[in-house]
Amino acid sequence: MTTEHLLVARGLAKRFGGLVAVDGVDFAVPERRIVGIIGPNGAGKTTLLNLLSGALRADEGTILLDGADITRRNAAQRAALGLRRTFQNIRLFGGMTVLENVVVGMHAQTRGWIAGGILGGPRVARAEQDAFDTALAVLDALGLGTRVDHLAGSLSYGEQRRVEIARALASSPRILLLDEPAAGLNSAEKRAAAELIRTLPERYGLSVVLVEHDMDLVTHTCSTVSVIEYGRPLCAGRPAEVFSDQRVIDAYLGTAVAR
Amino acid sequence: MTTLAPSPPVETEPARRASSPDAASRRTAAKQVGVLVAVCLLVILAAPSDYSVRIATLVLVYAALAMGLNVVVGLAGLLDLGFIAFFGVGAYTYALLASDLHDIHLNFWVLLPVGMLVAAMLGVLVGLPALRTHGDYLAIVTLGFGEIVFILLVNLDRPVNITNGPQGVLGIDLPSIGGWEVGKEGVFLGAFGLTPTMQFFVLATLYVAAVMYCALRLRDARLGRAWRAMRESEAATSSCGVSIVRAKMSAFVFGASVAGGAGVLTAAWYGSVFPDSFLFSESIKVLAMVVLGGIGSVWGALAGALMLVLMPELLREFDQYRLLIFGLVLVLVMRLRPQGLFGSRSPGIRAPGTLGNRIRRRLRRPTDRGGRS
Ligand SMILES: Nc1ncnc2c1ncn2[C@@H]1O[C@H](COP(=O)(O)OP(=O)(O)OP(=O)(O)O)[C@@H](O)[C@H]1O
Ligand SMILES: [Mg+2]
Repeated sequence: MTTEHLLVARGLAKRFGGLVAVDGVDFAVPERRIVGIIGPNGAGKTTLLNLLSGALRADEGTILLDGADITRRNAAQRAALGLRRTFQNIRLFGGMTVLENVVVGMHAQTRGWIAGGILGGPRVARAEQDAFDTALAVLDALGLGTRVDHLAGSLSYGEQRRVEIARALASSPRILLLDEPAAGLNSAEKRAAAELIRTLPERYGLSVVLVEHDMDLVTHTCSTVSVIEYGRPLCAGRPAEVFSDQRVIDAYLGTAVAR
Repeated sequence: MTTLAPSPPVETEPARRASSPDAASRRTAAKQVGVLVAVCLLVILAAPSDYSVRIATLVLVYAALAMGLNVVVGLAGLLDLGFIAFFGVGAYTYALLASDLHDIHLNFWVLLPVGMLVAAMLGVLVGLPALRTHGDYLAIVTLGFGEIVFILLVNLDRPVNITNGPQGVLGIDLPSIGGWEVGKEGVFLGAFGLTPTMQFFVLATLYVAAVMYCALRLRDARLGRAWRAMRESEAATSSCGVSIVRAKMSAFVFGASVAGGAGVLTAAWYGSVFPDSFLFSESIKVLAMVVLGGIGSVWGALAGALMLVLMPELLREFDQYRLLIFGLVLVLVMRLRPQGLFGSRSPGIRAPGTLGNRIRRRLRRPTDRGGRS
């Protein structure tokens, strides 16, 4: 874990009452790589993402982004620093248009508060214009160009997943945490999602942490995969190695959910 | 579905914005405020009596309040049950600093921003502890705050007389513009043949127009987007880089200062203030206007104010059945248009419309405690 790593977590732990959801996880994400996290249901993957994104405070451990300690930063501050995420259960702003959803994601790129919002002014106006243009471009790139003026809540499930990714992408994040982005997609959509995710690092110059159950998708996209079970790291390595590891097979068979 | 990976050249260009979003929002807001002012102009031209102008002014005061509360409740999704206290604080700011009570006679145009500022500062004071916690805590805190303000207004006449207690403050100064007193026969706008009542109607129109412009502009601006997003999912909104506490605080304080300004205006108009005007039931009345008009809609706030002020007036002749009819109409409106007169139904939740389902959906509010996602 040297400075080449964009995101480094050491000894992360989170307890819910007596339940230890995440138990001493070390984790590092290199620049422009896709790192997978897999594990059976309830293993603590989402909790780990919540700790990384700041949605939850870690009981123990430290998190470094680009060498800077962000353990005490909240979710909004981490987002502004370029650490962005999507949610396992889609959380769009259903009553707002697709375009507005993405522009909300660009909060750090837009300007103005109460006075700025009322009066406008060149600085505010230019930032708004740039944000809307960027948002449109990203939506175009994700094949949502015809949906920009639709209400987000009216889109199909697969489209909503893409809007969530667009919302995070438009702010030019340094690192993107994806929580089961292919869950609930049909096989064609899954292939498309895999292709999208695989190309993210080079197209947008970012790293991806991918939580996913779908082995094909993980094999297709990730350079390395970490397996966690009962909140603890089980093993890590290249996807092919990991999926043939007996411990991993046992872990998945043990809970009988090799989806 | 199409492939999504390599950006395919899109043939049907999405509706590119012809002009900048900021300019578009400015135009929209200006247009709508223009409509409002035009309607107000018609009212003053067509008003059959001084009494009807007075009622219209009252509608405007409540409209300002409802538009302010609409930002808090409708856009930001914060339940404020003590809203009228900010109105009261504004009214008393003017009453105490522009009357014979303490023999202080500051100018209306100085006190208008002062009243807004005092209300805003109180908003910060109340909001700071309440907004850091989740959900319904704010409702309780604001409810308590409203009661405290009321009790202070009633009791701050001893040992030192500050508010003059339950007797209220009488003989409040008329606002003056360049030496002309608004609301006095023959001077200022009276030169245009406007009665004193009409002059206050003009003042109220200006205030509501300003509030409406601010509300419309904010709704579509960065802050308003954050408010509307926050109402749907706090977890997602903070994951977008928005500080939830700051966004909530801004909505709360904005609403408070709008109410404070309306208070100053009303105190100057009535020439007297009494603590009884700032009871809990008044908070509920303004909240009812927001809900009736359609939560989140600026025009809805105006419509709600219109309805809740006019209906009791129109129903006067029904005497003892007045409240009954009033209540029935309210129930009917909410039954037929649950989203309010001007509200739009939330998308995505396409309702199989059994009543049970609807009630259940209403009760089931998204819980965003950051935990499981
Ligand atoms: N906010 C919470 N309060 C209490 N317990 C929680 C909370 N969030 C998660 N847990 C528990 O922590 C454990 C890990 O949950 P988590 O959601 O992280 O699993 P996961 O690996 O994402 O599972 P899945 O594959 O089903 O998404 C589970 O036992 C879960 O019940
Ligand atoms: Mg999960």
